[in-house]
Amino acid sequence: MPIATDEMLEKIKDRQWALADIDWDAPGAELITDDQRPMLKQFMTDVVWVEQMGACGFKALELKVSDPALKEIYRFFQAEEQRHANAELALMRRWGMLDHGGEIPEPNKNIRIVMHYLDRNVDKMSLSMLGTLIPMLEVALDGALLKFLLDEVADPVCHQTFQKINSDESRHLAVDFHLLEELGAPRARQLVINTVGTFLSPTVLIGLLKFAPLLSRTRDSIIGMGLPEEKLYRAIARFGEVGDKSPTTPRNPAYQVVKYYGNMVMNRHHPFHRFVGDPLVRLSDHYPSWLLGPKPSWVNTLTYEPQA
Amino acid sequence: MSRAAERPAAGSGNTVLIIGAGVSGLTTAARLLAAGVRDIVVLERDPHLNGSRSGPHLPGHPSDLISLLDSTKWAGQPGPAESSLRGLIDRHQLGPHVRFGQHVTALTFDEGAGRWTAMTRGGERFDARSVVLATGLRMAPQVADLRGLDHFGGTTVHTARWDPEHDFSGKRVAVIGTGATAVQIVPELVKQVNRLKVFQRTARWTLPGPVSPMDGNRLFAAPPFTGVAARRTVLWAHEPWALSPLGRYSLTGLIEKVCKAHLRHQVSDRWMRRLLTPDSRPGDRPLLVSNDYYRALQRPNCELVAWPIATISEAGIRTADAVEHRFDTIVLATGRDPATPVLPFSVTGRSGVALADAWAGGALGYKGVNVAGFPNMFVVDEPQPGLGDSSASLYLRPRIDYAVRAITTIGRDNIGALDVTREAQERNGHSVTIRPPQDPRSSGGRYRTTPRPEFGSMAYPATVAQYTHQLAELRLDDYSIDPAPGTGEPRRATAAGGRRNGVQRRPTASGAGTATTPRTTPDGPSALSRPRS
Repeated sequence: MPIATDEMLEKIKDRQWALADIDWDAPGAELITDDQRPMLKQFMTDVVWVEQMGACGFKALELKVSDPALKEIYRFFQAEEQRHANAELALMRRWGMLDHGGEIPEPNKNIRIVMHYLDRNVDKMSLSMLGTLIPMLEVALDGALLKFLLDEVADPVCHQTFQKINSDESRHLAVDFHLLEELGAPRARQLVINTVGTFLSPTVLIGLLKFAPLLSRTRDSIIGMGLPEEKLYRAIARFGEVGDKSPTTPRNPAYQVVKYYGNMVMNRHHPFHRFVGDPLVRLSDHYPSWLLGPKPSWVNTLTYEPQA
Repeated sequence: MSRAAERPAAGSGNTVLIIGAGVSGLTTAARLLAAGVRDIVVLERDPHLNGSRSGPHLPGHPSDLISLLDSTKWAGQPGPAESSLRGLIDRHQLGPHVRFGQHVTALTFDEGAGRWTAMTRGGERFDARSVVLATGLRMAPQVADLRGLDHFGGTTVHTARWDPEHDFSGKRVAVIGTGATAVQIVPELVKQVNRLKVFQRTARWTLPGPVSPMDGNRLFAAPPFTGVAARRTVLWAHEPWALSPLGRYSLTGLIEKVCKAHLRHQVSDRWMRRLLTPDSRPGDRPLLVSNDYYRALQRPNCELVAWPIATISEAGIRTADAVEHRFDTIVLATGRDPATPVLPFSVTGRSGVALADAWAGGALGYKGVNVAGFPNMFVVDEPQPGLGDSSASLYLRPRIDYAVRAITTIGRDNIGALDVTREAQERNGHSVTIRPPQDPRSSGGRYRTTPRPEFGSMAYPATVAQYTHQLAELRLDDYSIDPAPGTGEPRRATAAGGRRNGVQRRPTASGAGTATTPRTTPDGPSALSRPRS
């Protein structure tokens, strides 16, 4: 689905919203049940941090694309990911889930590992790698996790917030698939060289090792929370369905790899989990904390306050 | 009494009107005197010698490379600009020629008489055969495309229209833009305000500099860097910026390393460094020089906001991360629009065409000096430096030489109207249009600079050496030449195809332009028009 990037940029500028647009004190917070609370707290915390990964990826994409309008779009997307994180924090505050009156809870260890890695290496990753991974993650986040959240939570403010977030995400996906299509367009020889270059880089190989357990763990914890396995599977399959419709996207080997990988992780019966996924998750539990260093300073830019 | 009779003998002299008694105006006057042109009047708006650049006086040190290097230009003549100008006047005995307090309001070309007339605010008239615009051309302030700027309830200040009286103390202030002006004012503002937020769209490479530009001045003024040597150094320090990105690759690579080391030294936080690291190569945009900008950003009451601005609300700025930042004052440090010159007074050329209209589509000109339809008019100040990091004043010398050569030619050959042809202007304008930089070694898309629009030639994209070479000859073929009224054919310049004094004219089929004229002294009787009341 090629899009006119200038028009998309205008549309994005037209559809900006702010925390101040939502009444965070409106009734409905009491609809969260006590059973839901601990689970929801961890879920929301992880989502806030995953949004930050998106922001990080979009920043790297901004540096790598050459179309000025697309550059500007990615600059907005970074901020929109931060906006989503801010809105989710505001929801958490509304539900009384922030520690010590405002501190953001710790995410799970795999998120910390990936975040630490991205902070240092995302700029070195190739365009085709980033451009392929990001839509896969967004499809999963958008199609499965957030819909699941809306099924479970009755708070109207939550619904109002996620309606706004989802409409942003639909634009993100449109641009993501546009880029995917562009990435598949070069001549076959160039695609092969790009792909070999992408995967032979030590940065990417180490990244995949750090990234794999996050996906596996997230999958397991979501299923543990009660999301039907089928839904998650369908969300990931949608990434392939949309991508395969395009004439050029399937030509990109990186796309094929990521599509296969996504399907593999979602299928619990795949031998991948027994031999690679689960051991890596267990290994990551022993990842030394001191290697992660202090929290990156952008954490301080997250805020649930509509005004600064 | 007819106007013609009232006017001093039109054909006799070489009267020149110079508007603006700044460095360029006075230097032109001195050069003209040296070339034997005596009838010069320099009109200066200020009642006394000012010497400062017209325009707002921003707090802080100038932070662009140009200003830093420019501050060394008068090396060997240290001291403020005013005393440099006073020295210029005394050395060349320009005193009798300069009229202070003459605020020109309109400049009109009278086609019948072949003369320019300047009207001043005091109702006085000056007229002359040739006119030199040395007022310093300024570009219109550029307001970034910000939604809802009109709705802001606080005060908005543009750095191009700076009010030194404005009180920032204790205020919540936003600075939009991170160009040279922002880098200059932020370290000063942060000391006064209660809270400062700097909204960045594009990070810029920033070099460490001497503590103040005056130090640079002293450095260059100290032996053995004196006089000419210092100026040479400055010239060559500028020249690489006119090279193609590929040609200056090793230099920009080195500069990038220095800038990165500077950033690393001053900013300890990794995330902030990432935000402050540009994604273009040095030289794609003008380099900045500041020692205190990064430090200012890290002060407790200052914050760098790199999120895009979604809209301006009544209370402040809403960024795309959904937060509304509240402010009392928004400072727009968004620079100037390089395509829109602002003329200090109306200039009307042939057939009543205003220069503002001629430049509506961009400041086009011939070799950056002449404009078609405005005969005998010479623009010695460039609208802006030819290149991002080069200095307009380096281009000044060849421009002044060119104007002087043309003015003496007008007098010698008794030319009424020396007007560049539109074809020549377009040819010249076309040939100097800047192409987008193509650097195979930069990973695709690292350049943010967009190709300049076709306003080309008033801002000349070449090295000073190339430009000087271009201006070394006055090609009369590129001009349409009208004789001075009442004198018939203009006397032609030089022997067939020959060059004298850098004037060249190819022999034409008709043989016109081949007559050799003995050089006439352009000193007529003091034909300069006097102020009339």
